[in-house]
Amino acid sequence: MAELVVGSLPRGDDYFDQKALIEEVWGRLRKDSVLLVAPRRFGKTGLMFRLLDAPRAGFRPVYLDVESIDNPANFIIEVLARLLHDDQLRRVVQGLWTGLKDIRDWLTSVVEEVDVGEIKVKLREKTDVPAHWRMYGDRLMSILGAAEMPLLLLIDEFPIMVGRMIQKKREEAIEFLRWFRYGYQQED
Amino acid sequence: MTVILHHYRPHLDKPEDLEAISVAREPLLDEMFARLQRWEPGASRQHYLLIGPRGIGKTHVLRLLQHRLSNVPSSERKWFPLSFAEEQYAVTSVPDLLIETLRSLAEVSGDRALAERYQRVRRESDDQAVVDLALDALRSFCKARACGVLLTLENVDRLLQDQIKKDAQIGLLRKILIEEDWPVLIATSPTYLSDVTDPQKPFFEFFQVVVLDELSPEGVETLLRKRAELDGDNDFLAYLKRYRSRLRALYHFSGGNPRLTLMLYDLLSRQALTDVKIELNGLLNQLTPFYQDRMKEVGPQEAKILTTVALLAEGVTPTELAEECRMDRTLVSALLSRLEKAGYVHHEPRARKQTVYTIPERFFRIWHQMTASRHARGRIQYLLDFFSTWYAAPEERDEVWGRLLTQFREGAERGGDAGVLTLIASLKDEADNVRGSTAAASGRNAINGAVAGVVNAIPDLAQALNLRADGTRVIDAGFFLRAAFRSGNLEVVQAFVEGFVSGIDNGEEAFLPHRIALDFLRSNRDLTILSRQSPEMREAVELLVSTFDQKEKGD
Repeated sequence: MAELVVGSLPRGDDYFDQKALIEEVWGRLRKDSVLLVAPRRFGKTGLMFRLLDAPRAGFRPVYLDVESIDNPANFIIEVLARLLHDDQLRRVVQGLWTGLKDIRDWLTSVVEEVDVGEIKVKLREKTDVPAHWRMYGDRLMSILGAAEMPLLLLIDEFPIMVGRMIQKKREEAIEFLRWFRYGYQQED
Repeated sequence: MTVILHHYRPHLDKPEDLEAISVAREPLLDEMFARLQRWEPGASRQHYLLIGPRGIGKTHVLRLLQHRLSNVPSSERKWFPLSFAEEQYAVTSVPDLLIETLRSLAEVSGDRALAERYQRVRRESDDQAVVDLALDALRSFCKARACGVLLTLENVDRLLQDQIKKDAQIGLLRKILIEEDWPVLIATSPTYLSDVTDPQKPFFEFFQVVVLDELSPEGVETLLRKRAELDGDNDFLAYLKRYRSRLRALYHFSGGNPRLTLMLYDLLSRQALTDVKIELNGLLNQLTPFYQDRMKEVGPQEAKILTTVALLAEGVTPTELAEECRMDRTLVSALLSRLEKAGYVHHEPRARKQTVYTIPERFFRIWHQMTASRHARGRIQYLLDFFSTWYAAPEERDEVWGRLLTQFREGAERGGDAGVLTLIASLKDEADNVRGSTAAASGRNAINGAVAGVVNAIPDLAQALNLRADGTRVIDAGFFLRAAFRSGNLEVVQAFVEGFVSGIDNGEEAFLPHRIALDFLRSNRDLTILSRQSPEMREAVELLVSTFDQKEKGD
């Protein structure tokens, strides 16, 4: 039996009465990206988790809450770590480091045993992603574009992250938005 | 056997003792417990925010919930409840909070992997690494056991607003509570905090908010009964049955605050009620740290409002408060609304579509009056409030009055009883406040005329004196004077007036009882009390007046 969840996130049967909205979102996602716009507490995150918990065939959803991120490098690291932690997407992403033996070896031997946090720490400490986030971002978009399974990135609190980036380094934030727009337009 | 309960630190009490005195919080406890027990990994999690003033029972609820969850048979156990110290001064960021969670969970569970992860991150300088690695460990622990972790954070207002502060960090905490499958947070706060009411804040409307109400009069009685039963104190139980008025007085003063009720129980069950003033001062001394803390937990503007409400006559309108505080009326209304939501003040409708605000805990008001300056008008009011309400039953008041009178007579004969003289000195302070307005009056006819005028013009006077003009409320001006008026036929009034005139005729300053009598007449609008009979009280008052007169003449 469904329970009323106040403020917090409804999962499973507790998310109810939004069938039409869910159908519409899945329908749009087959053609394009979707921007959910609504005031706070209107159920955007709940909808995202519904898509995450009950994905339609052909989609591989990954959820990211990026509210606390304030620079592009950490955004890329967050995405990479989530993908590397996913059994089906890992192999695709590992191709990014074909030229770096140490990290490639670590990714192939250890990554299945560790959790997403450890992966993020490794990416920050042992790779050049923080210094070359744009390059990794471009390559990631390219690799994902070539993959057969469409990745459904559920990015929560995106505007807040962009706001924080602007506050911290305006030029870098603008570059990030350019990259994001370009990658989104180029890849399917 | 007397059971010691730690009023300020319930986490030190045995859970069984807390269960034994639990009152009125059962529905909330049952709901939270049942919901947590229905949870399965991956299902919805409900986060709660419990709001209420200090002593209302927030820690009590958390402690019992933790106890009940911990006592679930291991085969059905789903939660590891973690309690953090009420004052988490060392926690200034989410990484700090996660390190503390790791430490605490490792300790409670004995899990080696958690302990190792704690050792790895506790001195890690990279905050991001701390968050990532701590979350990995906590996630892994819960996944392996198909369990969750119940985090209880007390005074979350202080934690968010004074310690963690940064929205990015608070947003990170929200992200963890949403993204991770294992945590449920039950937070407490003495007031509504902007972090849950401001749409720009990460935790805007994130919690299910539960405002813990004060106990009803029946709840106070049940709490006292359960407390006495825990002590096995049959004498106190019998005392409660005999003096029902004390229960009403306890409720009146405590406003149904459980901690305050338990503190009053401690005092009542261990001390003989022989000296009213010592009794009252003892209570107020005990309550001082309690109320000092309470004043710290509201903002400076709310504190100003609370203090002013306490020092003014009971029942004050937002407009009066705005004038008194020199603040904008809209701001005052907003502050009153916040204070009311958190249980610090109540509003009551009055005549002419007016709304007045009162402090439900009279002791809070009395404490403010006591700590105000010596010349503040409320200085004496607290004694009189206490005296007249505490001994609400006439036979009790008579008994105490008789005792006081004996003390007074003996003291006067010996040349002065310190306690009684102090009481009189306090009363005289109050009389000085009205001296200016009465000094112009002279002569028997003038006074009689004034008395008649006061009685006849009560509604207008009440209005002029800035009192509530609803005709239902009597200003407390000393229970002995009210009792005197209950003797009827205005004979006692006449005695006061004659004494007053006599003093003036002799070229003396007006005597205290007469001044108070006039003050009482000014404020008293309930003529029905004059028709009641209490010859003993009249005799006592007359004796007091005559003794005082003689003493003054002797000096």
